[in-house]
Amino acid sequence: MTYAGESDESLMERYARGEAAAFEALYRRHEMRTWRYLERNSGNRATADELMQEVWFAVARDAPRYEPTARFTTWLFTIAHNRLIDSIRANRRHLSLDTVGYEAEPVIGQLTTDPSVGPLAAVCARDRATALKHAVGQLPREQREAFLLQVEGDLSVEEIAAATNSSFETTKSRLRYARSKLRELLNEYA
Amino acid sequence: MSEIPPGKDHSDIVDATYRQASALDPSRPSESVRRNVLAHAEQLARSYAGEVAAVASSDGTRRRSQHSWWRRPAVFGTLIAAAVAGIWVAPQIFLSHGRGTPNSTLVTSASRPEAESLPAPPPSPSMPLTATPAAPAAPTRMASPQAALAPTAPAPAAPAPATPAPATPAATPSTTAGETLSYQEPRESMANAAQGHTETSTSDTQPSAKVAKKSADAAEAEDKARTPSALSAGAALQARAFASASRAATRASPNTAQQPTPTPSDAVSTLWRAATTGDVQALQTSIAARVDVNARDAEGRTALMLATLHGQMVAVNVLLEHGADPNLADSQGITPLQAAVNAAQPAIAAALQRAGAR
Repeated sequence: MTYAGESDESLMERYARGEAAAFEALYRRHEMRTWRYLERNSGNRATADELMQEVWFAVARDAPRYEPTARFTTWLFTIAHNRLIDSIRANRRHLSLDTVGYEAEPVIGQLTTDPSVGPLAAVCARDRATALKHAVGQLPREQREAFLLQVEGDLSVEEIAAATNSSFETTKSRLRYARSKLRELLNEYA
Repeated sequence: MSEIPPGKDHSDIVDATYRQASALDPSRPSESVRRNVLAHAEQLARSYAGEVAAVASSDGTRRRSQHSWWRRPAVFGTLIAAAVAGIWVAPQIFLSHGRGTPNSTLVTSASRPEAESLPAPPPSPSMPLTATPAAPAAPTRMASPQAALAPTAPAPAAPAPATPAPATPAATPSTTAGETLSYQEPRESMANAAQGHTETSTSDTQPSAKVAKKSADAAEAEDKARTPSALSAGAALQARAFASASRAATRASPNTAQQPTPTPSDAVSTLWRAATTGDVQALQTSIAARVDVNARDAEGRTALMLATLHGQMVAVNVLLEHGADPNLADSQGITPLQAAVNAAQPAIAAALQRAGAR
């Protein structure tokens, strides 16, 4: 059965009635966004895998209690945010991007490399992605979290504020400062 | 960090750059994560499906039970009604068959004139009771069917000669030292009427007569068991004759059942009817007339049970206030509380529980 035209909320209701295929469709629809959010916030693939599993286990477990009062993605990324915070508070073994200390200068240099020139295009593309992750890693944790929730989770400022338990103005400031930081690096190495 | 936050255009450029780079990111969650997540989700889905099916089936069961809660009592009620109807109708068929025989017709028609000439009670009920030898009277009545039929006439209204009235078989056994009464209250005459009809039937030796005699004998046995032997002769006789008359009025053949005089069974019937219809005024009148509030009908149901079955909350309260026993079960063993629960009458059930119903 195909679920291409069905909303996330409808798929959740189907799964809550025991339709496993609906959950699989939902998972595949949001897998990469969730993964990127977790991986770029945690800075560690193993931690991201662990958190990814926990998040989707929680989604499956709480499906019968899910009420579509808000968008599914808001609910999903709120769970992901909470798992991430729990992970940080539990002082698990992970590589925090705050403590890694990526070098901004080479990252931005890779971002400005033209991938369409020559046989190194594929390598450049991979490098650009890596540079992006490094650039995001340069951001303070709160700013990075807010930025990733918006660009990966497609959450509004209000939704981010609610998910991170912050005020609207604080969230808005975090988003602005996050983008300002990234823009500075881009302009500097463009 | 910039002091001035970027504008919308800069935000768009940053976001577009991020998304472009993200699309090129080859990193993905490990395959084991996907496997684990989907396997876990499938396992939970099975349990969810089971829960949904269980809820659906329980809903269906509850719906069915809600729709059919009345069926069992209805079936029992129908069976009971059929049984009662059979018990009442069968003897009447026998009796009517018996009346249709020439012997019975002859005896009855022959007895009519004599009945009018037979002695009746004196007009004044305040006349003192005097004991007279009863031994000669009883054999005479038993020997002569015509004489035995005499009380079938409306004796209370007839003028009373001074001759002693025959003692009833019910009175004779408990009369001490062979004494009997020379005066009978109108109720006693009624008892004699019923008894006399029974004896007449006995003399006919027909099947219906046997049934009627058995009923009369049973009534007598009950009277004997209920009346203490230490009672004075007059009081015991009056009470016994009263009870005998009431039972005879309900059990005897149509000839005697047509007595217009109100009987205690009428008062009890009024009580039951008032409890059924919720007629509080009639209920209180019946109770004021000292009718036994715990009297049972043919199915063993008390007035409280009838009021409960018909959802008459006020009647239930009145009966409970006047000492109705909330734990008297009917012939099926169903208590008023069970009936209230079965009839979905929570307020009545609560009132019964407050009154000590179990």
